[in-house]
Amino acid sequence: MKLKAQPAQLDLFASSPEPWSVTRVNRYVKSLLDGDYVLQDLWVEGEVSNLRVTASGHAYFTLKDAQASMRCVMWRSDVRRQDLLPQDGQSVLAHGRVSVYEVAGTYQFYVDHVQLAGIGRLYLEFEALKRRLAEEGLFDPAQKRPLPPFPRRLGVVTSPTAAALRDILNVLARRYPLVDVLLSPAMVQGDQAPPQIVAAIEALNRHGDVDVIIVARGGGSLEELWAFNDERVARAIVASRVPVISGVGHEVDLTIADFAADVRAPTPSAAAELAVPDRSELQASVRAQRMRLAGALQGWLAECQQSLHYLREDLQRASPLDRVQSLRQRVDELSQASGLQLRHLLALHRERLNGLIGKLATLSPFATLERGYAIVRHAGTGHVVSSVGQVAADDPILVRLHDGEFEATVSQT
Amino acid sequence: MDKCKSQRKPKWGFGEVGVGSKMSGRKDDELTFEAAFQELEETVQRLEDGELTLDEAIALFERGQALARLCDEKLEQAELRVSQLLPEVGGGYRQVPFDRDA
Repeated sequence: MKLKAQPAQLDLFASSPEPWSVTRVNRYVKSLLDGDYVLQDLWVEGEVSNLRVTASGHAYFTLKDAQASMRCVMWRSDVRRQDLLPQDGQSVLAHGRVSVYEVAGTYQFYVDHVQLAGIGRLYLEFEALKRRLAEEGLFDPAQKRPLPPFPRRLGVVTSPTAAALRDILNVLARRYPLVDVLLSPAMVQGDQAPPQIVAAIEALNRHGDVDVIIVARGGGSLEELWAFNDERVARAIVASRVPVISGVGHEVDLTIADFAADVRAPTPSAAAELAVPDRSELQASVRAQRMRLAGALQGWLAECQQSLHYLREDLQRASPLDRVQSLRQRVDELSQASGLQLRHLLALHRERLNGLIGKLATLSPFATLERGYAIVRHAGTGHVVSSVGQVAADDPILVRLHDGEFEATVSQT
Repeated sequence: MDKCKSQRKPKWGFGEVGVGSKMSGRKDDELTFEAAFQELEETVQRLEDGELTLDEAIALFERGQALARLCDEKLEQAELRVSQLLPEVGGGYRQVPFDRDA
């Protein structure tokens, strides 16, 4: 049997008479793989096994499916960017490029990003992102801004056709229609949603002149709400100068936007209620102020009247008329008193006089005369003769008896 | 406490207390609800605090009434005004009315 020479072997020998080194082969294979555009940007799904992270920080693991396996490497810089590293047995989606580890002549999958595949992926990634942003301080309560008590203008970021907007507007119209509403529309679901939400928030900040922003979306599944777990949305909310209220989903749903917002509301309607005061309460408050006004004025008037009354009294007390009257009264009193005393004195004197008169009467010489005595007097001088020696014979004398007087002459002494 | 200040000379007009638009520095029709509500509270407080002349008390009372009326008017507004930001060609936005019933 003739040995048929293989054309490839003949070619090989023709173009390269020398055998290749192993190094050269490996390098050649590497360049082939590195030149293939499919292999340089590849998503692979598989199950992780044999994961080990070395001291240097690089991760080595195997990805496998039912029939085959593949060696994987993830450099430290890419490992650090991961929110989490998958564990052995977990099903993942890995992105990277296929190349050759020249030294060993093996091909490896150089992974730059790995994420969990399947239903739990979303939830675990949500948890990991939330933790990372929290550690960064994005959700710091000290950074939360207070809501204005009486907003003049309110911005709403949501879909123009969604029920969430209708609910918000109904609540506002009922509670506080004097606020002006500015809608900044954005999709609230799908890949386009996060950048649109970010742009809508920024537009309100820059052009809207609003006092508060509501970011809202009605209820839905975790996937449907996913846009509000986007890191870009969270950062835009935190960066907003205007305070942001989040009203996403139902009561139990908590998205990352809710953590980033200044105030979290359980639903879009609740967000509207938190954003504005209640008109009927305010009307009652104004009524109360009216009553306070009236009461204060009345109170003030009463105080003035009271002051006036006291002043009047003071005036009265200081009045000279008063003094005059009281002096007049004193005069009356005094004169009454003195009148009494006078009469008393007079009576006393009269009594005394009568007494003296009586006494005088008894002492009167005329009383003696009635007893038969006579008063003799010189007819010429009128002197009373009280002694015999005072008369001589033939002296004319007057003899007074109690009932009269007669003349006589002394006949002899 | 003697709330009623005695006067030596009667004072006429609003000049003393500075009530009215001079106090807030704005025309009344530019007052926001918040500003009017706030000023109402302050006015009532001052009337309650006392130490006022007759004219000051009357001026404050009337100012309070006017502010209460203004607040009521604003609260009675029935229509919610809604507009929408529309991006313009070349950047920027303009605001257009938004039809709630559309």
